[in-house]
Amino acid sequence: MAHIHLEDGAFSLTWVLVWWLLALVCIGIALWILRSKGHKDTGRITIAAFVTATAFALFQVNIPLFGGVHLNLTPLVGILAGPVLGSLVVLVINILSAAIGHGGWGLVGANVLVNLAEVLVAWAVFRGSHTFIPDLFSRAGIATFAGLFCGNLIMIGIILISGVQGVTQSPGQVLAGLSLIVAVNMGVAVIEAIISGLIVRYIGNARPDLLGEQKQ
Amino acid sequence: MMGLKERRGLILFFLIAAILLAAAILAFQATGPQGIEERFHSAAGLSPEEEEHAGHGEEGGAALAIEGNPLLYGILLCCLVIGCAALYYHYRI
Repeated sequence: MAHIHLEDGAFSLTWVLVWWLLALVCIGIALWILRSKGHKDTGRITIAAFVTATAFALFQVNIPLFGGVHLNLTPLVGILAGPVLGSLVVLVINILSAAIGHGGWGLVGANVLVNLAEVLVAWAVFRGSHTFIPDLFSRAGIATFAGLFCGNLIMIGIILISGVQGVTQSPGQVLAGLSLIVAVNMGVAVIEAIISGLIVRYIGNARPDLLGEQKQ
Repeated sequence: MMGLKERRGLILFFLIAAILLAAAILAFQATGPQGIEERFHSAAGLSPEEEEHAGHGEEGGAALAIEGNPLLYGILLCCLVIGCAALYYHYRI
């Protein structure tokens, strides 16, 4: 899904630092919000730990569909852990992924921003469409679509703004190429949306309090 | 019995899913079967020859090439471990 699969050195050092700095600002805000709350929501932290492990594992699984793709589960992270803990989850996942060679170290900042957009948008759509779409499966699925689509847009924006070193193509040609990636990614988003929808519906039936929902 | 409100969500979900799958199949026909990184490289305009040199500052820009360099990789990993330990002790997590 939306994840910049380029090696270290694809972006110039300036842009690597810019994206890292922006990511660290976002993480800093999340930490500040967590600390200003005063109390620790241990239940939510436990969920965040579980989704971190699950999402990291799924990041590394290459699904032989459309030539090879992987799932992110970042929208599910947003729905279950919320945007604040979710931002820390995506940082951990991206650092661990870089440590095993999935995405460059220099691209961790950019990838955190991409995944953070997925977490935030999915969380906002899931919470915001409560009255319009009461059904948990479809609401989580649509939130997943929205989150992943925004993540893909951020990914394109970051690549176009930064530019890839050693590439002679015009920005228009790069945009056309990346648009095809987004189309393929969004096809895989259907699988991710179904998985997320089923998980959220199951949790909603068993423990609706974890989703902040009333038992249906 | 499912109400109209519940069905509205499902209809919307499957409508979006159908559109996205159709777009993905069209895009897949345009690109052909490629791996994740292969597809990314061709989209970004990196040919196999350029991939080997990309990121090594050939256009005069500063680059950060850590992959394939165990020393830099180790240094970065050590910095991260030290940073995490410092944060852990400072905030008594």
